[in-house]
Amino acid sequence: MGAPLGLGLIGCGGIARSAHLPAIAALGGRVRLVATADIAIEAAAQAAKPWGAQAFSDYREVLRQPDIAAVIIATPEALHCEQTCAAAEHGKHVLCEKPMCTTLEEADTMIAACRRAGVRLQIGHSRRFTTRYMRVHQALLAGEIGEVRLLRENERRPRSFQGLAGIMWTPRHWTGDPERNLGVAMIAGIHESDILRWYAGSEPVSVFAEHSVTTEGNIGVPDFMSMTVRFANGAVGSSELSRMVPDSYPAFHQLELYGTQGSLRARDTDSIGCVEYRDGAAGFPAAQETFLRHGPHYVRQLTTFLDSIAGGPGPGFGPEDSRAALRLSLAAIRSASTGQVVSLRDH
Amino acid sequence: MQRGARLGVIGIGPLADDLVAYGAPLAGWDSLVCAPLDEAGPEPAGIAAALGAACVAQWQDLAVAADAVLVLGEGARRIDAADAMLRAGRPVLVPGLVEADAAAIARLEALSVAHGAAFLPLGEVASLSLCAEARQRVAQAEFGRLHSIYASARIACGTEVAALRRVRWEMLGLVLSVTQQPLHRVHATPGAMNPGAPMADVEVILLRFADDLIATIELAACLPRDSTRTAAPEIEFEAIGARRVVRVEPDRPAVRIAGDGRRDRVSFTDPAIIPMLAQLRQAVDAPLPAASGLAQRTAHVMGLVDQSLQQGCPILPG
Repeated sequence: MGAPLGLGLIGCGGIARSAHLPAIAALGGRVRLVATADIAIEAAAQAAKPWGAQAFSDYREVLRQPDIAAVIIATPEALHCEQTCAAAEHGKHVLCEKPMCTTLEEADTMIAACRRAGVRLQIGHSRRFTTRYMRVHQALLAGEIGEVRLLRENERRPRSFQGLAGIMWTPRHWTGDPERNLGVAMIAGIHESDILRWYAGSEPVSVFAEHSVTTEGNIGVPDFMSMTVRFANGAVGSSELSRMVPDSYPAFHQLELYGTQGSLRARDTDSIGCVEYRDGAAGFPAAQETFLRHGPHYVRQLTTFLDSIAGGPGPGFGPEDSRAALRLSLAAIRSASTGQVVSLRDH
Repeated sequence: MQRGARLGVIGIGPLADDLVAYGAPLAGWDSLVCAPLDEAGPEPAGIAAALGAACVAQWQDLAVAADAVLVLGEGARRIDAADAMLRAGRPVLVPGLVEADAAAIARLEALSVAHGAAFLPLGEVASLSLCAEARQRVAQAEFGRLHSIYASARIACGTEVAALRRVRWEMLGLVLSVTQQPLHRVHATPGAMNPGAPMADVEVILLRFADDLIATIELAACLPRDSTRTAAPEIEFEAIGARRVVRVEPDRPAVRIAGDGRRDRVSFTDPAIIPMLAQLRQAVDAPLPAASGLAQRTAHVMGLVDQSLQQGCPILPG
């Protein structure tokens, strides 16, 4: 094994702490965290400390480090285009959190910048690396249910997810700032847009969506959405997303696919493995570990990214696929905002 | 304790089969008498025999022979039967009255008032004990404001399109039973399980209500044929409120049987017809209840969904 690849981390908030830093740690001798950046310098310093890495409040300092070959960008999506393009100009490969960015123009700019610089650009559609979703895809490829005709992927998260009870979706957190967050269709729904398109094996041709504001203290960022997607091959996809279920709610994802020769279900409510009974209540203490399993899939994601830098096979999807997922999520937002069906045939 | 009463059963169908399969005396009913709706074969007599009931040749006879009437079967003749029984002053239960539009239901409700006989156009799914429990919980103050509903019904692949329409009526009825809010927008997307099939056997319906409640209703004839015992749909219902969530899967309590080439799911919850008949029994003695308006609303939304499916765009009621 050669020298560890120098890595920079831009953005040291919740997803960096819960997913990316553990993945970097898991890959031990293969990577070395050289520098971190966050506008909250304490967060950058905390992330850097175990590695003896440098910490900055300005991400450009990370890009100036000559021994960094690649960066993980884990900032809000409104910053992704600027930071990705800057990284590419410095010759750094980029693993950028989802959603890719906030507009299709930005997505095109990011793809062009990385292509021009000859660096890899991978968007963090982490769900493609989870065991559950990988097995579902393998079953589809094997023709287990024939041609997919109906897809359902519902997502739920409790209000206190990632320790943000009473903060997320409020002005006290970036997710509650309408200037920086287009809503659940982006934060969570980008996964569904990607998954539905991946499994349908076809491009969306139209979408209709409804969204609403449900969280107390939310000043207007949609935190609930339901969307219906029609694909070019005639398949219909449906996804309903809520981020405000109680902590005791036992499920995160409800995936169902129906095909011409069978059906396939991977529903959390069918898969509860551990129940704790108390007087007057029941809980599901291992639900997050069982169903979300952040560890393995973020490690797989990072491994694939590193492999592709080294000339190995990529993740099986490119930034153009991420752009397509973004296009669907943006269309869903437009539909929900206008109350109209949005056609994707001509865009 | 209520005195015994005579129950008249018009027509046959899965609910009559459920009554037979229930295999226990029906609480509060002293006797049963059956009649065909317009079925010419021996089935009505067979059902009557299985229930230990008499069978009369014409349903019109039940206006005298029964204290209250359950109208089963299929088709517009059910409306005629309900009409005649209400005019005779007999409480009437008509499950899943998908054949009637809002105007027809309004007429029957007017007859109910005029003749002092309850008219119960109940939904089978909404009447299931687990769904009734969920509906009660959604109505409680502790639930908080109702934000969203997800409701799905899956039936076997290849089921006739009329079955999907019946399922739509049932699921709309269930959703509308937990909110009195006016509808703001209706959109329905059709799909087909078989590429190129002329008829849609998938419908995804989005309802937005005036208070921003959003309901997602997914209906599909998509289950492998060997995975369902009968034409009964596999139901999922989830309501998310500001403080609580209630989730119902009535098919979960079931015996699952797997064998060579066979996979059956046999529910062991009471069929919906049992709590429905308890309501009808109450209606024999109780004062006439005010019409809930639910069936009329359901019929109205059925029409809006049809409109959206035909026009391919959202419909704004009113």
